[in-house]
Amino acid sequence: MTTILIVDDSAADRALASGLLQKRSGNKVLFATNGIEALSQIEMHIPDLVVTDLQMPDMNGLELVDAIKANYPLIPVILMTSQGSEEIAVKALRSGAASYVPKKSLARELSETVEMVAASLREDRAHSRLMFHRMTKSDSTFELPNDLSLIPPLVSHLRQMTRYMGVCNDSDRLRVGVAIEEALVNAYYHGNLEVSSVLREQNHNQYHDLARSRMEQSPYRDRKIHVESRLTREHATFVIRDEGPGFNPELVPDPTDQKNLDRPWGRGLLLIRTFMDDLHFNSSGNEVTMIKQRSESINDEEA
Amino acid sequence: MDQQTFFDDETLQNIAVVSLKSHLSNYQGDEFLSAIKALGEEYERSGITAVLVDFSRVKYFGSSVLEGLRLLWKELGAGERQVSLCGLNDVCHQIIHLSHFDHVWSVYPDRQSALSALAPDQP
Repeated sequence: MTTILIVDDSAADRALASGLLQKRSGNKVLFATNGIEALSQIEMHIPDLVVTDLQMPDMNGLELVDAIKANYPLIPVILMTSQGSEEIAVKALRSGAASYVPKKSLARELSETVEMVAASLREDRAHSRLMFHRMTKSDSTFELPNDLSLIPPLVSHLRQMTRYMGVCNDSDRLRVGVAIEEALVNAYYHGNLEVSSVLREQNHNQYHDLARSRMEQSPYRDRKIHVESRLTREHATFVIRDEGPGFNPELVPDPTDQKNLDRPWGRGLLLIRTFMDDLHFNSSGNEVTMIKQRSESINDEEA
Repeated sequence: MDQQTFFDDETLQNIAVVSLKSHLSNYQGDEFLSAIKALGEEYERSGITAVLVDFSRVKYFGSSVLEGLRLLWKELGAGERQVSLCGLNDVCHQIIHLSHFDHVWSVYPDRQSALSALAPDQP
């Protein structure tokens, strides 16, 4: 049984979408007339997926996608777009909507699109059932070009692997993700591109301009970020190495010192130190090893 | 990328409310900092008395957001106009606390309590 929440302020469009989806056996349809009502419905009964109009009063489809992705990231959202809503649809897709169907093509495409997204969802769930608490060890190695856009998917992957392994609870997984992201961004800017926070303190535009120009120059543009993860049920170890000259972590000013509060220094390292149980650098300072131990208080349900 | 990629903003009772969006990654730090700096400059020219940053849609953030908040605070005269935060979950609250920014910015549990405290005479 696939439960689908249809969100549309137009009764005619709700009826049309519902009729199309109920033709396929195994679909159960729920309704809401705007984003706020949809969120109340989801709170009471989590659907398998949401099909929503974009232009609605009170809370539009884009705001609804944002709210669902923030609070229920596993629920896919399919947009029903009408002429004139293309721009908002692009934003919603960027925010994480799974797909869209033009309203003029509902009869032809809605059912097929919903089935495609539902099939992908079933596959994801089967995969999660296989991985969750059944995998006992995972080692992986990545060699990334110095490309910022690869950082979020890698962080997301490593956080997901930590979830499968049951090392820590939801909040600590977010903290682990923050630490990994900080280490990768440090490797990108300070390691491979050798742009210093000193410049950021003077002028953050110049800092980012220098980073962009070095992305076009050798040797900076040719450098890579190397990532190793070693996960067991007991701990997760992440090793991140850049190809820059390294730095001395002892020389990074304490960002919590009152006199440094107004300076752009050391906050990423502070977050890493706090969110990981162990942290050390190699002798040249271009490789950081971060370890998260399984929390003693955690049980399998929490993880 | 425009400001709406990262946040919505509105003015309520002479208080600028900046509502951060859920996906704030360090990898977009450059664009985020530019957007927040432009916002700070706009507020500096306007008659707003305080800025409230609403985190209720944010699950976590890193040093780029901290740096953006620091820039906003500086644009607003580092104390001349009050900067307050609300809607922080436990992870976000910990990040603000670790950075000691809760020493200079007020933190409220939600938007309503923040607005009541910042503009107590308003209905």
